[in-house]
Amino acid sequence: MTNISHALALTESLRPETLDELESTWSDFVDSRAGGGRGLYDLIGDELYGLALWTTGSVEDACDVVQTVFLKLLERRPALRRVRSPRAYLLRMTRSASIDLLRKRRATVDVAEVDIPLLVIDPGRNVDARRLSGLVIQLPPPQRATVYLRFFSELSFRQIGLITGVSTFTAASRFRLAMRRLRQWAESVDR
Amino acid sequence: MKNPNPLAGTHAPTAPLRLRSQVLASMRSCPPIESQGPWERIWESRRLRLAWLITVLVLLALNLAPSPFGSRVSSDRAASRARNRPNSELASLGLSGPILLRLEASTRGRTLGDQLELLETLRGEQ
Repeated sequence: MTNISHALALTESLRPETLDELESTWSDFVDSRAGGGRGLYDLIGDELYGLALWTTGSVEDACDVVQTVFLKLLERRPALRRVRSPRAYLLRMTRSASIDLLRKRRATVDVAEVDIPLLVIDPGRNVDARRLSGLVIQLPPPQRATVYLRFFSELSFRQIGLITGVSTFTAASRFRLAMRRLRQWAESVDR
Repeated sequence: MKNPNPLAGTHAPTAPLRLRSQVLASMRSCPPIESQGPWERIWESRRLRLAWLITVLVLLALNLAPSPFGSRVSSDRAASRARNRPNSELASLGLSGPILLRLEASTRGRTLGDQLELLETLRGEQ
């Protein structure tokens, strides 16, 4: 998958000011200017953490993943000049690091271990975040990552496919299947 | 009526505050990576590596292929060797320098017997 295709796909959904800020911060980081790493974390750290949390289902693992990603960035710094879309590159790195960590530690996440909400409920809504997180974590990791990228990162299925290394059709199908399952589980719990 | 989207009204969690300090600390403690020179960076590019490979293969192919100028060069060398051979043979007989010049000038228009006689005379003088 080329960086060029990432760049073309991912610049569509980003707000121009965010994109400009991220790209200038990325340049600062690549050129080893002061504050480059800090600025990069402040801009995209939460999004990377969220993706790692949704993929691994564990706060500790998600923190490990984000740390790993930023350390790998340091190691690869000389080669980062060729990256066209920093956001796509970082999301892809985070997803790969999360999958690697899941493979190393355990094949699946134990539902009983999940005691941290994977999402935050907007004020005024009477929804149990912990219960909803319990439903989300029952989805397979690829479906969870797809739902996160679609729902919270607001990426198109084509963009999600480019990041997760699958076709647009597969990304859309994963999302539909995940949402259908969540809906069914939520209804069955409510009854 | 139930909301068709079970995730409606939710947003992604933010990273713990300690993570920021952990990440920044680990990045600070990481040893600085030496910047690479152009000759080290040149191998990072797949296209450049391919260009190098193609160049080497082309040079090898050109070197191995029969050259259209190869026969002319070798014939020149053979002619040069043939021109030098009599001198080296005469030198092996002990004749060289001014004697050879005298011999060459004196043998014009003479028979082979006369030439041999002259050669013996010159040897005696030497």
